[in-house]
Amino acid sequence: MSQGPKRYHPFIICFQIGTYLKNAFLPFLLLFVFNYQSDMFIWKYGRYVFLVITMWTIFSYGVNWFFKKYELSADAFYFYEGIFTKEERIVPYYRIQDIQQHRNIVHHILRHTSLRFETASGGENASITFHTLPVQQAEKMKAFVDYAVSSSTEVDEEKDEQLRKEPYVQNQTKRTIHFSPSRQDLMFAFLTSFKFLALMPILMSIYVKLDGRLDLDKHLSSVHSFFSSAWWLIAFVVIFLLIISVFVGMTQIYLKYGKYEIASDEKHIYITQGRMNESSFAIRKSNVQAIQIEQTLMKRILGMAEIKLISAGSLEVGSDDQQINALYPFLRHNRALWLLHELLPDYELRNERTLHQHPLQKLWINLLKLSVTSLGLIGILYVFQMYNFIDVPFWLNVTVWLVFAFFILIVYLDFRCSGYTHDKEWIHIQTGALTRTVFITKRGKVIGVNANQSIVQKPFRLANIEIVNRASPVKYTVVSHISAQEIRLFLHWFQHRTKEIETK
Amino acid sequence: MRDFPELKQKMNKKFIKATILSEVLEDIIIVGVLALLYGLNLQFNWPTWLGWIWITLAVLLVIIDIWSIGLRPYLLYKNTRYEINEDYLQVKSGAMFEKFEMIPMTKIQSVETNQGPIMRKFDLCTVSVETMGSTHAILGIEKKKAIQARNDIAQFAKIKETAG
Repeated sequence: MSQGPKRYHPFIICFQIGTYLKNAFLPFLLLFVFNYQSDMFIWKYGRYVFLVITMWTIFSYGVNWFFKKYELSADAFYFYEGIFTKEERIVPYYRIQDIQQHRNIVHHILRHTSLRFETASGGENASITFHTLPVQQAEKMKAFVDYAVSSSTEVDEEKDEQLRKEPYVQNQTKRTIHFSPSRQDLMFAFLTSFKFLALMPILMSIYVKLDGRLDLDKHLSSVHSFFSSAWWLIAFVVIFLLIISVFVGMTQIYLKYGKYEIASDEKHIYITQGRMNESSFAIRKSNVQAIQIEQTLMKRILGMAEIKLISAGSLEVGSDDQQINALYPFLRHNRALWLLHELLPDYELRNERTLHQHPLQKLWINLLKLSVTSLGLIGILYVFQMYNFIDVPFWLNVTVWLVFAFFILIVYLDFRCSGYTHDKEWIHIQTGALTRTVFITKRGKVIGVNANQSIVQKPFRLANIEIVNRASPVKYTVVSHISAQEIRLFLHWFQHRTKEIETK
Repeated sequence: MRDFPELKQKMNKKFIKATILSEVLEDIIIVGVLALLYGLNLQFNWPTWLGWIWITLAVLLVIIDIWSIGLRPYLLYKNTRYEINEDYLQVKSGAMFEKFEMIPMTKIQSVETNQGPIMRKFDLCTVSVETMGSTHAILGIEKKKAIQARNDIAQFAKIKETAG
């Protein structure tokens, strides 16, 4: 693929200029529109300064483009930049953890895409970004890198030669699409995401504002008569707004999940989402550090689950609130598990009943903690009441006790619902009274284990275990309050990880 | 019975003396500064309440010293244990909050020994280990032993895992 160092695609300058113009728009308005007539010093010279900066910036984009080059060798990316001081950066392919692609409208028009290779290292060199590339070239590049990684770790002249002849195209295995939402799925997503309430906050704020403006006291009688005479008009307005609200919500869901797809081949998992702003995420199955199945209370009531793939690379997707490493968030629980089984067949999910329960002491220790703090607070409230510092109304008294009871219930549920198990090479951790999280990882993927015991836990012979996984930022998963004996077993079990680690 | 596995290696006992010495030196500097400020206070007629602040700080320092000179070095020495073998670095620390760390050698990215001026006087070193996600330090090891430990770790950790 590589024929020596190459410049980036020239469209990158257009993209940079575009971003600059977007940022410079406000200063431009101030200088040339609102204050164009003004002779004040700052506006007059500001205009010149603005023009000079603009010209310089655009010029520097061009120069930078000219001097920046990259190269794909058989085993690493090479980057060259700098005009007077030359800089060279090498990123070996094996350090790549996942690949992300984003396409906005401009990309679509140009048939381009942005391409980002994420490595596990921190800092500003964590990722390799190509802001704009022709789609075909991006595909070639991905295939090339993938081929280079998978073929072998040894690099020799012969292979290098082979790579130059681009044999990797036939090396690509066929993708199977595991999930793509049907119309019913989208409808289900729309209903369960409560997007039909999307306009509610806006309507509420309008109502509050109107309420402030109109003096309701004065007009109360007329308002009343209006309501009774023109109820059909109000009904009409409400229905109209509801329809708009539904329409807006559906469009949002459609734009985001209309073209959603989860696919995989022998070695990779691919997730694509978004219609206008398309994003895609590709990860090697062997690079999945752990998975997390999350169910909020609402999702549990509706029987849904969200599965996240934990990658060591960073997963910033700009302003997008939905992380792209999550499998379609509106999946039925069973279907999500089935999908997981299809994508990562070696991840066996344990039945809830086979998980180890925490020792009963965990319940006592948590109840003790809760009681000490809550009863302390309630006590203070009673003391205040006794000396008439504040007048505590009856309902507040009742509420305080109800909240206390609610927390006891939560502590109990948390005890009942939490569990963990470690067998063969798998660790399963389930936590949460209301939001339930199941965390699964392999012994070989864990980069460290810590055991903690506080002075409160000591008499109960309890301790916490903390499992450290690669992610960005590093992921710590805590199993709290398990018996000291279990901890010893766990550490012993973890020590045997060396059995399944291949070393070279 | 202890709840966590026992580890063999301990800190060097000189660590207690070294820590106390460095704390005392630090205190002398702080007391000097406070005394200077108090003197200036008297000399230039700064407000009286400011003078009280210097005295309060000095008293606070004494209270803190009960911990940092009288207790901490002994507790650190007594409760820190470590062990290095081919596969794992294991560190146990803490008295009130006991902590047991187990770090696979293959996940260690860098190891170094460092030594401040006072520690040099006592021929002691700190071994710091960095993994993909965290840093760990073993304090107060005799220099010869520390360098041996560093070299061992470097050698054990050099093997690369194929499945990262």
